[in-house]
Amino acid sequence: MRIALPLRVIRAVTPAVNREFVVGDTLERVAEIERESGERAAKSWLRREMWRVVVRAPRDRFGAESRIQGAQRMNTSGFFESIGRDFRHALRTLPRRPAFTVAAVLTLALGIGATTAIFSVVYSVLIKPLPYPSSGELVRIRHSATVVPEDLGSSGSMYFTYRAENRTLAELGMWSDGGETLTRTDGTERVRSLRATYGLLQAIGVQPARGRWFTEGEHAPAAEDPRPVILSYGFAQSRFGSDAAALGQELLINGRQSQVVGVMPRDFRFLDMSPQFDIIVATRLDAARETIGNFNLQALARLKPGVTPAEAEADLQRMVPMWLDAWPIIQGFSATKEALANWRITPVVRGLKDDLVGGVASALWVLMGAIGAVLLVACANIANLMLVRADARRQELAVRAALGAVPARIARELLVESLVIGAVGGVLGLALAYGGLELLVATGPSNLPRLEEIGVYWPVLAFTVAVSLVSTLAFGSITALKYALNVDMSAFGGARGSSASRERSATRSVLVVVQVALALVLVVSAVLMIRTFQALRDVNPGFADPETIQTVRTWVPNDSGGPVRFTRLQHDMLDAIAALPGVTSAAFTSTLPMEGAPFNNNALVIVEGRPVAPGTTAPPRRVKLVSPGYFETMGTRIIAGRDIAWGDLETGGRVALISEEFAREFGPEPTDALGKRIRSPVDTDDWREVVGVVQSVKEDALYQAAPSLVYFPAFMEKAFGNDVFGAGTVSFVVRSDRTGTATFTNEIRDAVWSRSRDVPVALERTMQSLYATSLARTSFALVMLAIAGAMALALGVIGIYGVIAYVVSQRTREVGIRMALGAQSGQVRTMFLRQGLVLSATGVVIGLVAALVLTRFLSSLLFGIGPTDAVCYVAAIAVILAAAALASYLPARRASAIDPVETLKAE
Amino acid sequence: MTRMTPPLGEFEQLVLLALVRLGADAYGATVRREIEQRAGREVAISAVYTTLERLEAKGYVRSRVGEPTAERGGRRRRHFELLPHGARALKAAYQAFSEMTAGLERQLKGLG
Repeated sequence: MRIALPLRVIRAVTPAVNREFVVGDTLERVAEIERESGERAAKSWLRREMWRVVVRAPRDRFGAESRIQGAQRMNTSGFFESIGRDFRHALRTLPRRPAFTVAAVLTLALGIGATTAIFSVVYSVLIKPLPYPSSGELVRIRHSATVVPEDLGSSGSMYFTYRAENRTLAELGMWSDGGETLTRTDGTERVRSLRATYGLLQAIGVQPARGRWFTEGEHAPAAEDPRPVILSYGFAQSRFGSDAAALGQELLINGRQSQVVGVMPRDFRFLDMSPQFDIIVATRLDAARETIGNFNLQALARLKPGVTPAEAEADLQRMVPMWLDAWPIIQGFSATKEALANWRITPVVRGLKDDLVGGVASALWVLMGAIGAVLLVACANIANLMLVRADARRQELAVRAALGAVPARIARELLVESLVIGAVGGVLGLALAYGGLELLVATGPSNLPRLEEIGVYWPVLAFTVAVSLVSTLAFGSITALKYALNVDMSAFGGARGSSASRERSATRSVLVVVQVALALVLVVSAVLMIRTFQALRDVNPGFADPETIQTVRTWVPNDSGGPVRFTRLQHDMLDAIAALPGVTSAAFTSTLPMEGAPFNNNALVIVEGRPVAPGTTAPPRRVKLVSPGYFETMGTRIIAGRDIAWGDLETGGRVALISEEFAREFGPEPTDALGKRIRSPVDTDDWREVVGVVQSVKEDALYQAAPSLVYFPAFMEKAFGNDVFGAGTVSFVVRSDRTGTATFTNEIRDAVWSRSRDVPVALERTMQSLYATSLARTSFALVMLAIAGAMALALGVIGIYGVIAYVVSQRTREVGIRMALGAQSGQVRTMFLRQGLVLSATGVVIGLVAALVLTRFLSSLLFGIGPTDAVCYVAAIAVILAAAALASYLPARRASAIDPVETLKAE
Repeated sequence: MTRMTPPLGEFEQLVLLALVRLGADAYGATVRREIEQRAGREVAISAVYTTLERLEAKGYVRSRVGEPTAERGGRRRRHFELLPHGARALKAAYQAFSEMTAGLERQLKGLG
């Protein structure tokens, strides 16, 4: 039975001395009614009881205090009765002025809601410490090198050198993420794994919820089976029912006996691994077999207390020459140690949190700034509304004061009115913040780190509520109170424009100018993002109609008999898939475009007849293995030469295709590259002839440059230091109208399994979803800035409208006289319109300067345009001025419709 | 002679009558139930406590804290007991009421 809330309310309003008894009595009665008349009746009674208690609460509480103090009870009860009357009065009268009430409440709700939502995101992502013990000591170690644009990665040999020689690290561990094949009684399954060296869990420092970490001995190369495995909480729950039941269970992982030794806590996440791991397995590094190459690990460390990342970085840099000396070069690799030294491999140490959120920090701060501006606009708007309202009631208040109303009484009434507006706006704002965050987490880019940690952050909510309420109270009540205290006799004579009202009017004008300026900054930002989005949409990704390309990834088992046999198996599976109804074409590849890091492969590629300068290596290229038909299926144009054929694979795959970027190195025409021969720098490799050149493909992201690409056949003899070479894990790409349907992916899976039951099938995605992911960062920023811009614009328009409407109402008589003396209604309209536009233009000029300065912070989010893109500014100014013109025109038209006779009669 | 006591309010009378009826079993929940079931009106528990505390301040009743019970989630009861002073006030109120209504029973019933 859900009785928690009413009961809590009753408890909260009951004086502490009686709390225990009252709650007990209430529970007893609820149980009684439930026995007699059922749960529904009990619930309904409890709700009624709650309201009864709440309504009585002030009287009961203060009645009790007055008894203690021996004061007169009647007086205090009178005070609370009359404040109750004020509340009822406010609730009754506010809906009678819907325009004011709705504007004020909505402004508050938007201001509170949006600011709370966005700042909660900023706090959760950027400010809150990572959820690991003493997380400030954790650092990420990356390696820069001249041959790769980003992170080179770390190697097992570095692990041994760094662990043995460092003076600054308390603990160091490395990992790679991947998948393992889990054999169940009813088939195989691919699970996400975190492959951890010794030291990784120890550095992170989060103890398992059950069981233990791996011991150092369990990472030893010769450790005996069963292999230890640690499960994620969710995986333990779904497979064994509970974390306790999972402990000690045996699993068959990659065909090896394994045993669960631990289960991580429910809320443990490993960095921003996405999706998170199902299992953690112990990596076994063998110092006897490690080499210098093969940078396939990631590293993190815990600093010794008091050590800074910079000191650790210097310490690691000191070890690089030792590392180069100590380890052999990977076998068959033609580069010399001297060439490797010229790569300038340099450790880069950064705080783990900075490393994790670095990419989005600028975007989030921009959003924060935008939302802060919206809050300012909202406050300005509330202030404005309150000033207008106070002016409108000037006469009424003056009369009441003159008739003997106690000023304090009037002030209290106004205060209560502001409080009611504030409370309603606050509640709506809270709902908006919660809804907004739900939406954000649901639609936010999956690459936003720490997405799952986001929640409403209460101090922020309290802050925004306070800011908005203070602006309501300060500008509303205090101004009104001034009227109540200084009886302004001129008010009786109507609005003859006292100097005080001119002052207030000036305040309002300044507020409007500020609003317009802020709105312009936000609208410019939004338009910049819209143009960026358009520019990205216009980028040719290098593949066509991604919504009709289905992809699935498969892994052949380790014991499948080598590349010759598994490539044949992949070919068989491809034939089965191609025979499915509705399939136009199909192929497979080692890496999909935009698939991301784990499957990307960079390798050194040398060109025949083009010697590598001594002391250097050939530049690394992005390398993909593809089956025949890949380009046709993806819709990637072959601009010169031909595709790979199955016949090429049968004769050892001694062909290759290259991308436009690579081909340009051979001459201006794509055909210039045809006939050239390439291979890896391993001397035992055979040369492969370039038989075709294909168009650029945005392999990484739409906003990044297309890499220089080499497409090798899915099967090759004498390649990359191996006699036979293929890709154990490939993605099938299938062009069909049925893409994206569940029946279709099921049929593909069945087609794969019709050839082998031992092949796990996973990552069933459409190319469209990969494409959309690539747009996610931009569309996220776009949506957020568009919302902020639209809100600021709407609030700004309300502000302008309010001021002009007020000015019109103040000058009604003047207009009447003017028109009686022969002014045309058009002239009157122009007069007010001009006033509105002058205000807006001032705001636009100030906003323009601000925007030129502030949009520089957007640079990292933009694509195809600069932050000072003229089109964006012109568009934004046009939007603002049009809105401002409309906002001034409406009241101006009303002014021009004034009947001079009526107005002067009233005078 | 009895001390001069201010007359009891109507709700105070209902609460004191409930105490008489309940005897040793009188505490917040039972007092309220008596009033709800006999007088046929729903009362906020806080009203019961406010009234009882006022009566206690006047020296008409006294309270003591009882033992925790499972039904109340381990919370204790606050028992109330009628004191002689309160009994006198109740009696006076009852006398006044019965004097005023003597012989009017039929008429009062006829009022609908």
